[in-house]
Amino acid sequence: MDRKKSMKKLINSAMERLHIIKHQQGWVLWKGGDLVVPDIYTSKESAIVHARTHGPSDELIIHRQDGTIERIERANQ
Amino acid sequence: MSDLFTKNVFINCPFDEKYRVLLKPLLFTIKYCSLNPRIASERMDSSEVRIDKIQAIIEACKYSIHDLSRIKATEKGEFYRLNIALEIGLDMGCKLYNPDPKYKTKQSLILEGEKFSYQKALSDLSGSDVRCHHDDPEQLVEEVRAWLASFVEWDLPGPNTIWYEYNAFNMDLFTEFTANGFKKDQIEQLNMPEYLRYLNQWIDLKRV
Repeated sequence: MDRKKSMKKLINSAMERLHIIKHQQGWVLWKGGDLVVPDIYTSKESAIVHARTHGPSDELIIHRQDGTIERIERANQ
Repeated sequence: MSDLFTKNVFINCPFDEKYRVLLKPLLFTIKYCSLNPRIASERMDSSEVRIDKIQAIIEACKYSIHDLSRIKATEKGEFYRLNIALEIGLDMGCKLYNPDPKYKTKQSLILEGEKFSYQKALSDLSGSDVRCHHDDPEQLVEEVRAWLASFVEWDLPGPNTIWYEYNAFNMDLFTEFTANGFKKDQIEQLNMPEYLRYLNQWIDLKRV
């Protein structure tokens, strides 16, 4: 698959991924362009717990404070 | 005045490992706001004289961002870094002394990592509006976006949107390069031309 096709596929599959992102003094859950809940969690751990119970997402993406990838949890793993 | 000149933003910043966590969201923010970041490491040609390359980039850019956050030596015996200050001088000199009137329109943003630290190193800048990002990538996105919003004539996405999209971009970058045989640390240390190519393609596709 060429780069543009694979990139477009990734962009289009944004709704399948739930991100845990640093925001101001805490962490938020973000998916496909929107916050999943308006809450800002004070710790990354509490955001992860909430994300796991939130509902089905193919992938849970846990970011570092600088926005890069810390780890990925996949539903089928 | 060429369209490219009015969209190019010269990035004058450190190139050390620690600064990469700030440089990447800085590049993303500029591109996401429909401007074009220009940086000395955008191409790797050993035959090119660095100062000539920087001069050419300065002349190609209406806008400049100078980050003074690493001008302080961090340990005893380390040399004070002067490249950033030199390039601020070149950029200001271009605006002041170049006879082409387009250079009188140049605008710049000066950033620092610790509030008022610049006054100790570059006191001639006292009175300038220097913005502080506190070495926080999210804060840097907010400061750069606010500065861009002060002159662009189109609507910009909000700072939170840019920050969240930057995080999403990192996921796609990670997925794409992992699938192409890269290890995690190799992805984080991608050379600048390759990183910029992916960044440009990703943002262009997001807009389609």
